[in-house]
Amino acid sequence: MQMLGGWQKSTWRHGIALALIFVGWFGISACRDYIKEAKRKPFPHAHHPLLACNTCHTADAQGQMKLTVTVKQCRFCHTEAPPHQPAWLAFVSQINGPSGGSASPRPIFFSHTTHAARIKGYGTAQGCGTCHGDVTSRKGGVRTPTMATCLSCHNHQKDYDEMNCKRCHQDLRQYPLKPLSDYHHGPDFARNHKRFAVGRVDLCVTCHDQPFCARCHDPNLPGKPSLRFPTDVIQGFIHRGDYISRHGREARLQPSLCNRCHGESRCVTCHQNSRRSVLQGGRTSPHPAGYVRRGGQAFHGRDARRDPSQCQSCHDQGAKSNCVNCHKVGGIGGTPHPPGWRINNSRFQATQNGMCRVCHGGGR
Amino acid sequence: MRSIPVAGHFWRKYPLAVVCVAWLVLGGRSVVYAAPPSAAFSGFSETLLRYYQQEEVDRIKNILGPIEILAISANLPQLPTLSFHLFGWGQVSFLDELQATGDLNTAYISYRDPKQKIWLSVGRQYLYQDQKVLHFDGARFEARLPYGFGVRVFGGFAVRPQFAPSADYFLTGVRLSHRVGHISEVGVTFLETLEEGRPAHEILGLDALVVPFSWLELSGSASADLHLLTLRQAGGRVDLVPWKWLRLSLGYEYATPSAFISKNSIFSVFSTQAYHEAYAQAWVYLFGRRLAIGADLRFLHLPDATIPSDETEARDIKFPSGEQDRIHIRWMYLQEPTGWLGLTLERARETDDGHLGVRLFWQQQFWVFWLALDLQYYHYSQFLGGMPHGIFAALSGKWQFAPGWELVGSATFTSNPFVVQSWMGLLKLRYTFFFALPSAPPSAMSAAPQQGRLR
Repeated sequence: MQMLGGWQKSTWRHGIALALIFVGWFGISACRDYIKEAKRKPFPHAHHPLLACNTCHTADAQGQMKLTVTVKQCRFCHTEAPPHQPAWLAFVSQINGPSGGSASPRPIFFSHTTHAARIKGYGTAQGCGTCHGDVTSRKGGVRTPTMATCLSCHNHQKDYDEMNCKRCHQDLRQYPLKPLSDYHHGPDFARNHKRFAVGRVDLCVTCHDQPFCARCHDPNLPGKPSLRFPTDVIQGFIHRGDYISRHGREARLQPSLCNRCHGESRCVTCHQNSRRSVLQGGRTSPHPAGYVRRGGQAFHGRDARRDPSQCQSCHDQGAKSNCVNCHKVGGIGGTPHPPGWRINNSRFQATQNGMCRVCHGGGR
Repeated sequence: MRSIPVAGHFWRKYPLAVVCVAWLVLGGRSVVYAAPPSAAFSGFSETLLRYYQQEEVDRIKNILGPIEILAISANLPQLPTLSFHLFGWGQVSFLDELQATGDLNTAYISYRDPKQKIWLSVGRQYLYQDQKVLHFDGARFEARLPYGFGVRVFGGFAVRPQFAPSADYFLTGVRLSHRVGHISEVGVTFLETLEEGRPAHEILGLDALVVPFSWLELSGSASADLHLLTLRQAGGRVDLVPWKWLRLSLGYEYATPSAFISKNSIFSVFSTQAYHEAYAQAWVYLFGRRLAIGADLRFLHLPDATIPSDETEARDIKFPSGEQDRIHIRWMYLQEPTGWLGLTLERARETDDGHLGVRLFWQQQFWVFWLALDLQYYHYSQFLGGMPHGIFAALSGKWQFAPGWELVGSATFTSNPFVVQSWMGLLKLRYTFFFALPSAPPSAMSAAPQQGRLR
């Protein structure tokens, strides 16, 4: 017993040690990028106060100012530095940053060329500082100006109000999304987004295209969204979890919900494939016993009159509906026409309506 | 080595505190990859390998099916007003069942003029109209007119899944709207559907979304069938945001079954019964919207109904009024930007049936890893020939192993009155891509201002 207790204690300690190692590894990994970023030294602009910005940030063939600097440009002054020295190259690589010093890491419609004529002292520290801040100070300026900087000169208030972002931004989908709570999308937005989808589609397409809609709104896509996006548990998809055992109840609780997306053929296909229907004798038929027997407590006629949309969600195949097999004049189900049918429905309708023409073909 | 017993001591004494501290310290470390400078093609590819069991009458069928989902959006810098969007999928199932399926869900070309006043899209597309998502092969044209007016015209053949012929069902419509500000809009819609060349529905709809003040949102819609001269559905909703931390919603919906039944259906002749559904929602946001507590109460009422006697019934049938209610209580904690912890309680009651559900969900990002747990339990008051319990459990993980690449694994267990027990395993490889055309000149960005993009 003592040995067993000792073994348990040892195992407990080993488990904790493993957990701590695991957690520690997560912590170190999580901090790695922050440490990397903190260690990255910006270019010491303050040590080069006499240089114009375009001395190093030269223009490319199209007149765009390049953020990239090369060893060659440094060697105009620093002639004593050995070429291709690893430390030098590493330094240049570091100041160019993780994006490789690309002309514009943010895909916006922007041109340095068109701003050159309008900004006083363009190419000097003062001119570039208009947007990039005081690059000569030890603190350094900003590599990418904020949107507020642009709006200080450009009047885009109307575009901003209308969420008309594409006048400046090429593709907003490339940006990592902010937390959901930053937007108008509240916790129940998934259930209520139809209010905006009717009229303000142009607002939605600022960030989402229709393939985004299709990920959930394609009713035939294999696997429901909650299974295909298992880590997005917060989104509260309608068909979450064990929906199959609840779908009948959900359909009764919100009768119109299913038919908005799913055609009636989907119910029939699934129930026939899994042999869960009255005619095929499935052991878990959705209907109670005696559902087709007239006069019983569970007679289907009452359900059909009380809530026909429920019946229709599975049993309506248009003019070829199986109801007509019984519900016809002279059939076992009798006429389907309620009292006053002749008064309320003209003969014209019988000729126009495909359902009527099943029995009343030719307008009889 | 002294630290291990100390940690063990704390773990034994305060396990919840240790978990909370570890979560707060380690959670929410996200890695944001730098976006490419420009892109012509963007989209995603998802390859799913899914194994699941499907119960049939006399056996449990094992199905293994790879699914490929592809979405592409093309936005050429040379033609910024044109874009192309495609979404399609294909599936092959193995093991006990061999079949191949696939579909093209969305494929359309869209044109938006630089001032975004005109929008034309042609192809297979969605349109949310008349409380229903329309999916059609056709064209849609929208124009923003002066003084906030707008017009939308659309028409096309309804899409049938799996490339089935849809030439027998045509829909067309027009919508006129007036917009005030950037949210408020009022619209009138006329929608006609033709089946075999004959009108099946002629629907006139109204919709409105008005935000007169920042603390008040009003929305509503109604539609009527012009053929039958009946109101199909109507509804309204009021959202109040008196303070930033509180959102109250009240709503009412009225619907007739005929709103969702084809006029050509035999069921369209039966009932004029109507549903009245009222609901109230309340959301409280605390700690900078990190904590959200919500309650949702829905109440569905079926009024008294009497069906007079006819050839099929010897006497009048009287239906007493019926009520169904549903209460949702949700509690969510968001550790921005990447952590969620939530609890949902659900109670649904019908006149003679109902269920009670509890759901616990947790999601957390650790650097490039995500973990998610979803536990659900339902208790049913009645069930036809089955057990009254339903259990669902899912454990999932995601690993973002390279820019744009994600590997997702998930295992779910379901136990319910229908399936009894089943397992599903999912392995998903997702690649989100941005491709630039090699020939795209970098001056495309500088050319835009010369086209008057910047004022």
